[in-house]
Amino acid sequence: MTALMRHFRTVLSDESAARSVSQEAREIVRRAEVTVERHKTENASRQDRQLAESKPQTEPKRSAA
Amino acid sequence: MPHSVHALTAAAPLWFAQVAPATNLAPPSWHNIVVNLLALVAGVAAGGIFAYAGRRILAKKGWEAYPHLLAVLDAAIVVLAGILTSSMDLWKRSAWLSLDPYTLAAYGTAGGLLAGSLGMKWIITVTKESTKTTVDALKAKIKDVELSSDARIKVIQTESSETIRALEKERDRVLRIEAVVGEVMQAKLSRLVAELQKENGTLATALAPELQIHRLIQVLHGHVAKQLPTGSRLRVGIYLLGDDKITLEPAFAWDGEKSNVFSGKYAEYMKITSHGRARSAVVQAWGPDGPFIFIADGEEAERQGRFCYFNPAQRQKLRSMVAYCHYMKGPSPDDAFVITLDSDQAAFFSGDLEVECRLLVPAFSRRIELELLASFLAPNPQASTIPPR
Repeated sequence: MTALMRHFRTVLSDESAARSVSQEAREIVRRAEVTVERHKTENASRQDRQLAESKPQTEPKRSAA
Repeated sequence: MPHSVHALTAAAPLWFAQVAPATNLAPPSWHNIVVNLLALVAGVAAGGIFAYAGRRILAKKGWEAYPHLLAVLDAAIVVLAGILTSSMDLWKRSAWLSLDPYTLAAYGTAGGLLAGSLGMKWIITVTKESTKTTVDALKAKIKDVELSSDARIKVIQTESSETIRALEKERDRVLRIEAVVGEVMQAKLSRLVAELQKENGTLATALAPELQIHRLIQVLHGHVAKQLPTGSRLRVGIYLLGDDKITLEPAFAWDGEKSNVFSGKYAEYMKITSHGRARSAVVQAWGPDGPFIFIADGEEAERQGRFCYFNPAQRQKLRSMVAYCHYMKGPSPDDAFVITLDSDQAAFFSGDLEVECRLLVPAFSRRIELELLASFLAPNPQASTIPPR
């Protein structure tokens, strides 16, 4: 085992470190979920807005044709 | 209306044949007027009856659409009228004497009118038929084009919807990965800023790469676990090559609550020199079959000889798993680790999650490597004190 891997094993074996960050890790996952939902909502709103903006431009063309 | 036209057509020669001699060859008398009126009425009646009967016969036979039959019918009416007129003339004088110039002129005029009307009728009928055929053909073509266009539009709409759904799915996948990686980075930035505000903050304390490794492992676990149904279990594990340089040993495991949940009792399945069915997914990921080994359904993979359970109880606990070997940039080929995710939920690591894991697991592995190198190169926290502001 190389020195780097030996160091890795030492880091991983620190159970108290694992326990100490568990709450923060959960919070990161929760915030990521909120971010995803916010982006999805923003995307949906933007698509609706683009659809609404494109309608008045296309309708007169149809009636003119 | 057609019947009256036929009746008048038939009556015309009768009337002309009788009126002309009566008005030109003989002095007008009540007798002549009555005879001519009787001839007119008889002609109209005979023509009407004949036309009606003829039409009925044509209708019954379904031959109304044939203009030449109508022409024959009208011609027959004229012939009948002629015969009737001649018979009436014979009653007065001989048949030959009745063919005087006036009668012939009357017959000629009536015949011309009849021929003209029949010709017009024929032209109109043929034109109508021809137009109807053309219109029907055009309607059929329009319908074909409409049907074809509708079908094409439906195909295009279906394909577009599928493409949009696939793109949205891909976008959401990238968004999920970007969000979780971004939040890990954001948390790190927040820690750095907090450390900056302390009097004796250190870079090593701020970055805390050892803690960050644990955070990364647990965030990966949490991110994947949130896609599991309630009550299902997920474990994440890290395997390193042991001192014997043959056995891959479990260095860390996390089930969301506690660490080191692997027993490590099955070393015989973890030898990188193993062959055939004795090779675990971890060993397969390390070897030439790696870096990714996806086991969507453990029992199915076992039947196919691609997977082996270490004991019968594992069949209930481990139904789906992924193993990924991350080779680091270090000088030794042994600078590598295998990261595993396993669940008791069958078919969990398949489909969309498999695609996501192919991006997510290497991304987290690279960050773990980065933190490991940072930790390895700066082991002394006091060595990197943040300069005073």
